Amino acid sequence: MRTLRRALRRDLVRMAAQVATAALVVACGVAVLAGMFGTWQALARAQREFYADARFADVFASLTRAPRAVEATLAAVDGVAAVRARVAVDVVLDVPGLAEPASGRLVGVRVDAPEPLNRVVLRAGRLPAPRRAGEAVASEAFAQAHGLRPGDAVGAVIGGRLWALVVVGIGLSPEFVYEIAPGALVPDARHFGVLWMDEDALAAASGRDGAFNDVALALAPGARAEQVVADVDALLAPYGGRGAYGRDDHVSHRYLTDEIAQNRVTATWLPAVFFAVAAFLVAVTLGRLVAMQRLQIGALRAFGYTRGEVAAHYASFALAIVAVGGVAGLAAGTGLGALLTRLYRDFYRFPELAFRLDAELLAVVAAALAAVAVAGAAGASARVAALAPADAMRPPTPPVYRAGRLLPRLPASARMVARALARRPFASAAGVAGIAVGLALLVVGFYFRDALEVLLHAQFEMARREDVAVVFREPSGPQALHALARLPGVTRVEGERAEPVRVAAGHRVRRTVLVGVAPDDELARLLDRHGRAVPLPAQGVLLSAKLAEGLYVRPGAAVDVELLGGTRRAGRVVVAGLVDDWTGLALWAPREVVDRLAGEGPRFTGARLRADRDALADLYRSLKETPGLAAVALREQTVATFRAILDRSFALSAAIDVGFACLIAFGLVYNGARVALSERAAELATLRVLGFTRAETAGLLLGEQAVITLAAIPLGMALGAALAAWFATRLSTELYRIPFVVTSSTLGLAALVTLASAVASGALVGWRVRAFDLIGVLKARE
Amino acid sequence: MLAVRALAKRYAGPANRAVLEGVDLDLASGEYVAIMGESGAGKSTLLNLIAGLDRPDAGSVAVGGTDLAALDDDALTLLRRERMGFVFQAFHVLPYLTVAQNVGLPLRLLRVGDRDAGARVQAMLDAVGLGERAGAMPRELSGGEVQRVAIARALVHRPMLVLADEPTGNLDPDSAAAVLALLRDQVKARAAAGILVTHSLAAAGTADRILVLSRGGLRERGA
Repeated sequence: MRTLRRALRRDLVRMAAQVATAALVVACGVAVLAGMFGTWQALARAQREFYADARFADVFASLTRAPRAVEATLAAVDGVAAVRARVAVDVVLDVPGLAEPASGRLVGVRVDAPEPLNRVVLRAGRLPAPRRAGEAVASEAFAQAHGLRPGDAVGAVIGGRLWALVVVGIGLSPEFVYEIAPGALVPDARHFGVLWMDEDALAAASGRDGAFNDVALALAPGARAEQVVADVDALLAPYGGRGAYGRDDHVSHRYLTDEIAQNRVTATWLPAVFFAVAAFLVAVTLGRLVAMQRLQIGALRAFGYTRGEVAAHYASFALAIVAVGGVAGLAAGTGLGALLTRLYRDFYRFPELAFRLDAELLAVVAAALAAVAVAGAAGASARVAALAPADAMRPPTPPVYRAGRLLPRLPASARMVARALARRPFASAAGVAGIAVGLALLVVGFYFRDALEVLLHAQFEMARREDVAVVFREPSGPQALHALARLPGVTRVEGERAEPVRVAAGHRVRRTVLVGVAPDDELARLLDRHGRAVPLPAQGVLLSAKLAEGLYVRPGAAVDVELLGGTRRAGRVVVAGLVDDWTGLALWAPREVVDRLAGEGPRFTGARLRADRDALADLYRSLKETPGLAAVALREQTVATFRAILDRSFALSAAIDVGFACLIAFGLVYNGARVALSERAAELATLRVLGFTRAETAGLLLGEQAVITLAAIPLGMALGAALAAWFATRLSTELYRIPFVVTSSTLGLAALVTLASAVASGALVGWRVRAFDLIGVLKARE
Repeated sequence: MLAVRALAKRYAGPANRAVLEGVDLDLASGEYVAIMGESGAGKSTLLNLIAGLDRPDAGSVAVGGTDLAALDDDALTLLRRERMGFVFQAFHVLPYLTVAQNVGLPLRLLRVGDRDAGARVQAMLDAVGLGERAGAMPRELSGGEVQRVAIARALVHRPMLVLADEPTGNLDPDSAAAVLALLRDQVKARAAAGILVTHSLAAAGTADRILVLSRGGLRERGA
């Protein structure tokens, strides 16, 4: 067996370039698998551990105000294991160094007893002192965005009074793993933050002494969340309850869970693509080796090596490629995983989010490598095992060529290329498919950026055109709009009524918002996916198409709408039409219809302002001190944050996509050309001797790869577009939809990158043709 | 037509063996010589140096007055394309081209028009006795016929020098004799110079003179 081991070493060295190419693609697959699977594992593990350690609640509810005694009643609800009733207030913040106002959520925290649910994990400093209103723990993301440290102060308007809150600690909570302002599309830690204050101090400052307005509950084992939600809802209704909901409707949990699910999808299919290409390259390389060593195989068998020993020798060639790729891939995957988890740490805040190369991940990688080795080696090893010694020692039967009817019309060089392609139809087709897949990966990578750009444009440039959007702490009458109109620089004010509602069609229920719209609204327009204004119906409501899909209703059907705030009135309305929108699950109706449904006069939950740009600084100063506001959102800042996130996240993913797609194209073209070079050596040498220049000879050799690459480009574009369409469907959630848009520049760029890597690998093979041993080849006897 | 002067070639390696040393050879148009020698004597190396497929360590090769040392690879290729024809032991005809397409390959390289090329190919095939097989594929021919295709391909573009390396090594004696006679006749008919490298004394006997390569040098047989 020592002889076979020596032969293996020699073969690996002799075919080093092809071995390296295949090993590199294996390494990419392993890197992507280890990196992405490990990141998925890390996110899921961090979520599981943080939720368990900090006792993340199962059911949530907010209300106007209830006496403390109601907490005991809630605890007695069947299926409830623990209750935490507290005060939580949305406020406008004045952060030092930030010209514009920020929004904050102040949450009461027990400082003298352990929190039963949603515990705050301190990262620095301490909890506020008991009953001291001027102290707060800042959320880590917010603190980092502003460089806040214990001892720094933040201004907040609480209960109509401006407070200076001294940051005494930095903390995390399972409720705010994904810290995003209500209704926002992306987190913006500069303009939204969570601050935890002493429960009693916050209650006193916000005028809720002896009362609470927010509740979290843990379910007892075996309890049904739906039943508890219904019971809690009924219990809190007299106290202005806005509808209880389970984890599925909890914004942070929903974003995190969706992200983990998306990661799982990506961590599965993307490595699978690489492993398929890698298995193909291993099969091609090994197949070529077996074909070249046919006589040697016969000799080994004749000397007494068993069928199994010889087959195992060739299988170990595949194993060596896979092992080299596996080790390199694990090293790269560990780096990639660490990079991805670091990126995630900016968006998802856990006490610990760390990539770990643990036994489970190693087992998954080992299983994938075994699959590649088996898929790559099976065919060639089986051929070796099936080869009788006497047959092996005879040259293989030459392929049969016929004079084609069309081919003679082609130039001789084109005919040679066509013949070469036809000689290995499976390999040619697999080469086309492989390069197409690489290009499709690029299209998909670039597609996400295009899609989010479209989303950004539709949402923040077409539909919304205000400078500032504000949310009132309590629904207010027209006088609140008049007050806003008097603020410095404000040139237009439009009120908005967005009522939290529960909408039901039969047993299907969703918790969402009903938005009152006025036909003359300019700052917030109701548009469809093509940017066209959607006309308001005279009767009934418009439903987000995604909501209609979830409720299984069509225009003409009736749905039950229950207001979750204020009067809590309910009514049955007809679905007048659907709006194919990009985010959320809203319902829209003329504002007077919403007012009528609520059984009250004109009320507004917020407003949109347009302002003179020169007066923005004054407006911001005024907004920071305006009482009665729960939140302020600045459209330009939102767009800037969105773009910054796109740039940061997509720079990494685009680099990974481009790198990997280049490698696939490079590997396939290089491997294909090298195999062709070794198979057609005699023919190419003959042509060189007959008078073909090096360039012409390389052209014949690479013409085959050029045809394969060029054929792969439209196929890859189509595949990429199909994949993008699949992703648009697969990754669209009730929180947001991903537009399907593949731009010509994306297709062009993907094609260009693929062509460039194909040309680079062609140049490398062309260089091999320069060093072609004409004499050695021509001396070989057929 | 061919002038080889003081040609030397060594192969690198532990032995650093000199294969050719001080080889001189002159060949006029219409002259047909055979080069013999033991295995490893350097016959094929000499042929490769004459064809410009390899570079000598010393000495010179001039074809039609052109010193090969002065030419880069592309210029050497063009010289081979225009002025040389090759016949290999292993035939090296392209299996996916018809007999006529194989023979016409040098004419296509020289950009000879289709009509002219077709006529010349047919005339060449007639000359080598394969006029009826123009549309056949190489696999449909016997070994001797395939080598006749190779000879036709080597001569169709009227080269001034034809190089044949063991052209009958893969043929049975009857076919070999026919091919050798044909090669000699065609070289003579086209007033080309021809070099036949062979092991076989019988094959060498078809040439005008026989040269023997031994210990790096070239000498007339019997001299």
